[in-house]
Amino acid sequence: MALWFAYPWALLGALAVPVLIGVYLLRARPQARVVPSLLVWRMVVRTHVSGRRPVLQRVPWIALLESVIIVLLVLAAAGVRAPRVRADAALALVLDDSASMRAPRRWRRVSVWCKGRGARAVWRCLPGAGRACCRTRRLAALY
Amino acid sequence: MIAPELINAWLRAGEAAGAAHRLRVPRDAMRGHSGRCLGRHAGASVDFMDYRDYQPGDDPRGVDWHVFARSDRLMMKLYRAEVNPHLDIVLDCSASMGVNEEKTQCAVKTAALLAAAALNAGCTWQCWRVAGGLARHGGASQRASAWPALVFSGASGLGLVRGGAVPLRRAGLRVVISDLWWDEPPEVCMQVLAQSAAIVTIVHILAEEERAPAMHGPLRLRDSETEELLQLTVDAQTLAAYGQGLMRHCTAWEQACRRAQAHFVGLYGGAAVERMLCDAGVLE
Repeated sequence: MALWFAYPWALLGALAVPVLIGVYLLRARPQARVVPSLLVWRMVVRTHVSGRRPVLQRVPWIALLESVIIVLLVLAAAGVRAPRVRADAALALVLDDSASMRAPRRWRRVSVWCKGRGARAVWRCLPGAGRACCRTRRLAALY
Repeated sequence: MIAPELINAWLRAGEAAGAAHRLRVPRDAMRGHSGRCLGRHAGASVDFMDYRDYQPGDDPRGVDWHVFARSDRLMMKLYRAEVNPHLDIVLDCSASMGVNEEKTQCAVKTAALLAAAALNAGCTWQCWRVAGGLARHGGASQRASAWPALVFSGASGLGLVRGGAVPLRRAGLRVVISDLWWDEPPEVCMQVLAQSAAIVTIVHILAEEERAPAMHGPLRLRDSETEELLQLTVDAQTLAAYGQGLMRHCTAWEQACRRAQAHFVGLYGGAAVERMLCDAGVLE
């Protein structure tokens, strides 16, 4: 079952994800500051950080969440489509061919139009194999 | 790098502020060369001080012959000495003092204020700069506004203690103006500074940024004097630990001063210099 997109150009918006992660990594880089003396800072490090593993630069959870949101927005903008039925599933088309459908001439055009619109919607969802199931002459005449 | 014009302006401002004050000179400091103040010991002024028995070797011109005529005893007439108390202003000119303009201004103004107050008290004075060693700055008793340009660079503390003895005037007053970011233990520093001094005053200057640093997140801190780097992540816990460490550092210096019978004046975060020095008994 292959996905397809209504507006594939919108997928370019996904480029924002690496940019976002890059921004977070750059922001996570330590900033340089000049201090008069490291005398007390060294004591702080000895007291609180000794024995700990050095903390690696990591992308925070909020960045991952934002990336997911961007991906979802891009997919929504691109109009991702998936077939609603499987290609190998059988399709039954039931057309009302009752007497009421044989209305006078002035009503017939409307009923055919309605019927045709409904059938067209079904027709669009059908892969090639499914279309073979439509055997009604009137429907075939519409397309 | 702070502009020399700015430093000169601060020196002039300090001098103007010091004109309204006098340096309080303790009795122990009333020693030295001949000068304008009366000292504690016998000397050669015209002010009578005391009598004592004649001892072989005394100058016979000092014998009070009237007393000898009345009592048949040789008594020496003693006069008060005239001395010039001396103030040594030790100004920390290391790079750490030049990082923050607020701190530099406070230090420079304090030095000029003390020089002007010493002049009012009839003291001589000498300014010394500490920057990897102790060196004279300007001439003796030279007005603060005429001092050579002050440059804040180099290391602090080490030069003062390494040499053991300090070339400061014996029995003089000593005022050290510094941020006290010295690696040496305070006791050792105070021992050296208080050696043969009448009284030592430590003026501890810290900027607000040093007392409560506005930092957060991952930082790479660089020492302004040694260029040493330290990478750490600053959060609320780290800042609290820094505050405690700084308090311990200040308390250690305060205790060392108390043991050496020295004054400790903390000028933190733009405190009023004159009021603090008056409260500490340095000025009057």
